[in-house]
Amino acid sequence: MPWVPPRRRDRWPRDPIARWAVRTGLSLPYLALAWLVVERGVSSRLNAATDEAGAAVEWGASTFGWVSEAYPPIPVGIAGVLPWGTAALSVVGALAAGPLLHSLVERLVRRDVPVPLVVLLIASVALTPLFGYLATEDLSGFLALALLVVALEGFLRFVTEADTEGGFQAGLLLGVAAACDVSSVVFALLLGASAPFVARARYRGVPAAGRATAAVLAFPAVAALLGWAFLEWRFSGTVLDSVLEAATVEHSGDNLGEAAVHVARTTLHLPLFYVCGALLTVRRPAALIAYLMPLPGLVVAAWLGLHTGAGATVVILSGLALLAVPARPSRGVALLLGVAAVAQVVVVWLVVTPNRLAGPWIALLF
Amino acid sequence: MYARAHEDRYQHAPSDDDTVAGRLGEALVADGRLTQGQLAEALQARTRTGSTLASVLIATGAVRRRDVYEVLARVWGRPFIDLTTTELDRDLLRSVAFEELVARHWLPVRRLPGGDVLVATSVEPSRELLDDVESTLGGPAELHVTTEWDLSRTVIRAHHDVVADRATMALWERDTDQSARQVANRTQKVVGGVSLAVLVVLLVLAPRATLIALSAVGGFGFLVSVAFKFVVCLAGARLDWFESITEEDLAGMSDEDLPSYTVLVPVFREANVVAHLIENLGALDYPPEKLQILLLLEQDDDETREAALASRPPETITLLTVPRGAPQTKPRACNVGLFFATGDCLVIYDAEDKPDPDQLRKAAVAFDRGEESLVCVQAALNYWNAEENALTRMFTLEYSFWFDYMLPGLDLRRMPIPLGGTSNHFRTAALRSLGGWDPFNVTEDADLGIRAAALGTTVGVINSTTFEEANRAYGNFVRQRSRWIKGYMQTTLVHLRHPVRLVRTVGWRATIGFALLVGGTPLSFLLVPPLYLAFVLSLLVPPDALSPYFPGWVLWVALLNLLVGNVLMIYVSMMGAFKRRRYRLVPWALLNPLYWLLHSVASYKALWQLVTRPHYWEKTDHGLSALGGGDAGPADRAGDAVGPAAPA
Repeated sequence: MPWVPPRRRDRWPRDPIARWAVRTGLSLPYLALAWLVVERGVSSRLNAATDEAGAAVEWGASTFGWVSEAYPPIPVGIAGVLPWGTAALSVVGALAAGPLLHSLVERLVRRDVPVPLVVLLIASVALTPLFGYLATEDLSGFLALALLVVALEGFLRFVTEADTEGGFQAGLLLGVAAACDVSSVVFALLLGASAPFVARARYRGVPAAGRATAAVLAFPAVAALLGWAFLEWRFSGTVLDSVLEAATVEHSGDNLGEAAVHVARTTLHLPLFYVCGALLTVRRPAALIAYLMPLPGLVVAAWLGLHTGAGATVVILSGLALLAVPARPSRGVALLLGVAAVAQVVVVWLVVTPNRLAGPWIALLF
Repeated sequence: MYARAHEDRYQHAPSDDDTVAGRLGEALVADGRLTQGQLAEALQARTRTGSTLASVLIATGAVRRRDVYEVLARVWGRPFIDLTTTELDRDLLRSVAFEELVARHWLPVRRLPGGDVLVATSVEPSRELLDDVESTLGGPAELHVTTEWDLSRTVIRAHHDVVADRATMALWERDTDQSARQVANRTQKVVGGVSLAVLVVLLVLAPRATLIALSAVGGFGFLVSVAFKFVVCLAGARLDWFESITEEDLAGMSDEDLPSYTVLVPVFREANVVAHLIENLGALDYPPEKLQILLLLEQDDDETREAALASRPPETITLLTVPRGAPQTKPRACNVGLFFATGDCLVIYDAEDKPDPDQLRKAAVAFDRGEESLVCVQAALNYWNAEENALTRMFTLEYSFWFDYMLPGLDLRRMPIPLGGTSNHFRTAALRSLGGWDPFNVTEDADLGIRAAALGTTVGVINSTTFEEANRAYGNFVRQRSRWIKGYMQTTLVHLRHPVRLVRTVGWRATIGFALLVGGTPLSFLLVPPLYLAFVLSLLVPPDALSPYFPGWVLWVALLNLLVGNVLMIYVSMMGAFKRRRYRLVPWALLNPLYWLLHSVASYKALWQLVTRPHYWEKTDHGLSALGGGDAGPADRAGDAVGPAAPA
């Protein structure tokens, strides 16, 4: 019997170089889009604000008074390092789109979803103008939601398949996401709080398991926020002022009910989200809570005035739908999913986009 | 397969063709020492395992060892000799090297009146054996039969000084640079001395700049060390679903194909746990006739010896006395055990260990399908008294992270693996080729793992766990940890004597990994107090007050260590506990910064001892747990379960 070296979970493609080639390939359309954005001089106030904060960063300085204006640190740090202002932020967002889409493709391929269906499903996320808009015009929000989607993939594995690597992935990515956008902390707390309910059957009779799961999911994000609070307190005397300032960029002033209505209304334009939810209900009803958990996250984030909008809602829920696509779908299910994917692209283009920021943006670009 | 591949010179059971087996069985039944039913069962076991009938009968306790050999002597047509009551010619005995006597299974007893030499043997006294004996002794000999136990005991008694010397000095004599007998070689002493002198001069001439430089180097080193551990842990976590040895793998290896196995158990002043030990070893799921368990007792440790005898050990357990000598360390005792090991494979357990019953089988499968370069596999270690107090909780968190994430991660990345205390399984011949353990190194296990890598062989991990007793007393903990950290310092010094050679053998990546892991761990702990002090000071004074000592990037690195490094290390600790299903321990990971402080106390003690008593073995007291050796439940064993262990 030949020696089988230890190996990690199957990756797709197996070869790391091929994997990065796929990621790069998936980034290319968005790099083209970023080039167009730069060419047309179309820059959002979101990236402009990030760029402005980045300019205030004093690299290597002994004083840290500027931290009170430097949240979220990762996009601001990127803006501070890279030259060429918002153009560079658009390029970074475009580059981040590739790994995000690859993680979705990889999961679908590993679940033996037929290639044509993979193409349609990925198109339901990748071909929406909201995705392109976020990638090239809102680095902070896009990085956070990209990390959130990949974290959700880990979260699902963690709570439904008992995969501790998934827990690692979810917790760490939520921690990094918290350094990209404060709304990620809300998701981290909600995912942590929901985990025991999601995996109730697994936890039955196991003391402290729920609390431990919550800690694993939420600790990095909370630690990231507290760490930032410490820095801000120590060097500028304020506590989380920069976080609150960054969070209220899109504050709608909605109350909780109105925020819920907004989120619910957006979901109506996402047939794939409903189809995948229905399929999940039939196959693994226990996992439905995990599937729906981002919804209260989006609602709470919107209510608190955190950095979420319809674009983020569409991308997060579309991504989540792809994570819930059943393995080895039958011909009928594949057909249903394919139709829903195409319908979603059409609906988002025709109904959602014209009413959102992405509509005028498209008009300016083309 | 092992049963056919093992070396004849280490075959310890009497040869056993069907004729001999048949005659032995008949004779034992005729003597009334065995029933027909027992004989039938033993013959079945012989067929199933490929062992000799004598081994089966002794191992199962059906017949006493001495009775078997007495009957064998009759079957072979030779007299039986009782070496415990026979007068020995010590000079004659010492005229043959003890390694030869052990390997050839015979020894000269005394000269007979006619001039022939009376020779005792534990194997079939064949014509070939007689030729071998006579050519070695240079004259005629008369062969008598004795038990292999008596043979070993007599050899060790007659050659006790040689055995003690070989166990202590063999590695040193083979290659002085591989031994920790000298803490640092001349080059290291010169480099160390000059560096220290330069540092002192700089501190006098430019104290601020020197402190800044030290702070920068320390902070950067800490950061790199944390990053390295984190990356390796992530790699280990990706193996969640990989089970290196499955139930199917175990089922695929029949008893006949299993190698013979030697279990070494060095014990010293452990009379209180030795009865548990015998019970725990008895739970191993392995054909007893293929097991040789050597309980290694120090010569002056009468208390443990008496306790061991009082617990009436089974025939598979041999009490072997380690001749008095210095340094009186566990690796020295293990080297003595290695001289007398007859198994194709060999494992070390500590006195308080509770290995998973199928651990030897899993190791056998790993070796069977591994390449020849795979010389050792390490099982995971964990604790059965995890929740006894705060210290045992923290200890368990640490072990879960180390054995369930770090070592598998190192394995995946093909980096040197510092072996962990016990449950290291070896191919015996390969272990001999490596030179055995370094008795001067107080973490001989870590050293051996690195030496294996440095000599171009590999070490792997298996998904099996040995449960130990976690240290519950703080003083005992600091003693134990100071020894481990001192051993890591010794190991670093030993293997960095020829850094270029090391790089050439294992490559850059593995060398850096070794330096960060084995060298970086003590350094990190040494850095903890100054870093904590700087942190506390920074809270007490205005932000700008410390900036002269933490300018620019130095401060950035320090903050990164504080805010990211600590969080990452706490987090992997949480995950380790989670994987082991020690859910109640997960929040305790937040207390790691205090636990590291305890390590740093031990590390300063270790550094002091490295200078003043480099080879002193800080003895860890076992048997302190008030839980009295509780059983490791299924949740504890979760790290080895099929797939990951999380919420289930």
